[in-house]
Amino acid sequence: MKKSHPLRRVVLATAATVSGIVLLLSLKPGTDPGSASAQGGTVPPQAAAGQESPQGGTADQSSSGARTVTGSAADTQYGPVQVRLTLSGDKITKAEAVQAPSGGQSTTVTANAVPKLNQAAVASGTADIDAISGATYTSAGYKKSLQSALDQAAKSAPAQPAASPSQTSAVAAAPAPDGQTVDGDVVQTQYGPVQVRLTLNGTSISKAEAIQAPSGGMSTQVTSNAVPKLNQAAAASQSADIDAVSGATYTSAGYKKSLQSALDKAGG
Amino acid sequence: MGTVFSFDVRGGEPDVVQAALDDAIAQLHRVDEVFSTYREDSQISRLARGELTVAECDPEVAEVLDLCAEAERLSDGWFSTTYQGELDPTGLVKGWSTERVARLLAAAGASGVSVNGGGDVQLYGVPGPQRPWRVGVADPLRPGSLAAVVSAAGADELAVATSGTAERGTHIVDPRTGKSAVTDLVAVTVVGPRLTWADAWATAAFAMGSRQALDWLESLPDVEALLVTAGDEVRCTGGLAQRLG
Repeated sequence: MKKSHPLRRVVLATAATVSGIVLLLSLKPGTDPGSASAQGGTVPPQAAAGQESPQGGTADQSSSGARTVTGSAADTQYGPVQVRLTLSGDKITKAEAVQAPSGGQSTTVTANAVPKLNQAAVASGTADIDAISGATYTSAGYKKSLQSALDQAAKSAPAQPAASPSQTSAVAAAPAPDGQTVDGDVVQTQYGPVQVRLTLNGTSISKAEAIQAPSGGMSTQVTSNAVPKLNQAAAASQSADIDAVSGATYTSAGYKKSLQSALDKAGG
Repeated sequence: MGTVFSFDVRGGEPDVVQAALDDAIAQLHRVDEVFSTYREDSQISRLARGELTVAECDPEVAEVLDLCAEAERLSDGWFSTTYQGELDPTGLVKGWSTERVARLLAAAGASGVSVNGGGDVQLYGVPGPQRPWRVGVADPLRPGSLAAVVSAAGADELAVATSGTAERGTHIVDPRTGKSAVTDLVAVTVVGPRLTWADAWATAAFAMGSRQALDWLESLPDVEALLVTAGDEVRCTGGLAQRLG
């Protein structure tokens, strides 16, 4: 299906707002003795399975019964398309094409595209994903700043008993005032300075943004691709039940360092 | 290498697993020292300049070069170890080294291992009782979204490798012309038991363009793939649907 297809946009828009790309690298070790994880060479991070966030974005929401919603049939140049969603409470548990173009080339396109849509919609609902494979970026600056912000935010959380037995992340502690921001160190990269700012919401990171990022020439393109991914990653990591790490990963040491320093400051 | 490696290890004795993790990290640094084409003093760079013979290098160099030769043969030259006349096994080293360290961790007694080397993932075992590893595939045209979710259910070992324009850039070479390949693909994700091959095949397929890549990947046993074109179309091999979940 082409990018302009309205149904596809709706389904993927839902997926985009809920699905998570998580930087395992950015999380502190949990207290679960049965598991361990580390990132090569630096602070050992971990995302504990079954972690729940104050924002409640987990797979464990109780369902109030399944219901289906069928979109209107939309005409495409290949034939009509109609999508049916199955919902359980607020979550989309299934997306299927009840009408899809067929015949000739269309059968091939449909057969290939529909699994993608199905999975995208379902994944956004459960967010129970362990790792993500994707084309990687090698922007060292971002990772460094990101990691520094994460370290700061983690250190800034005062040590208190976890709110619930299932919360095993060491970042979990007493809530900070909503909207508190923490800035990571400015990290110099060959393209310019990178600095990450985290916005905290209780014990969760609700937003991560690059407040300084290289621009100009190729850098602008890399920046505009890289920053949304990393932002999503840091924000989603707090609200999604994801076991292992990151999405399209950034070997961006600068970003990570600044983020880690922001996390450390938030924690201290 | 400028590549981030992430580890998620479940089960096993903590001390033993931690020691294996330290070992794994040391191995990755060593791989970087030996194989990095960005380092003038790496063994691979010195080999390329003729300052060393293969016999004088670490045994892993011979191992990697043999694997590269086989990958070239099995891909009819679309996977290439040379770029502009220079020796460059990069297309295989990342997947190979990630698989090696994942294997090391599994051998240390972990019941579940997931190692993600710059977006290429090797999985062993399970993350928890009655739950398989699940790996999202990033949508290359929508940062922050997923194109699909791969499940390792029913497989003791599974690898997911993604090759994309941001990562490879002009390193994708058309073996027929020796020049940068013109391809309509923006991402290729290969799913198979071993990351060494999944990574090599994702690299090779990328250069081929979507039609030839799909036919070729379809012909490989134990391999499934998902391809995204610049026109935002998705192509999958026939068996991929069974791997999604």
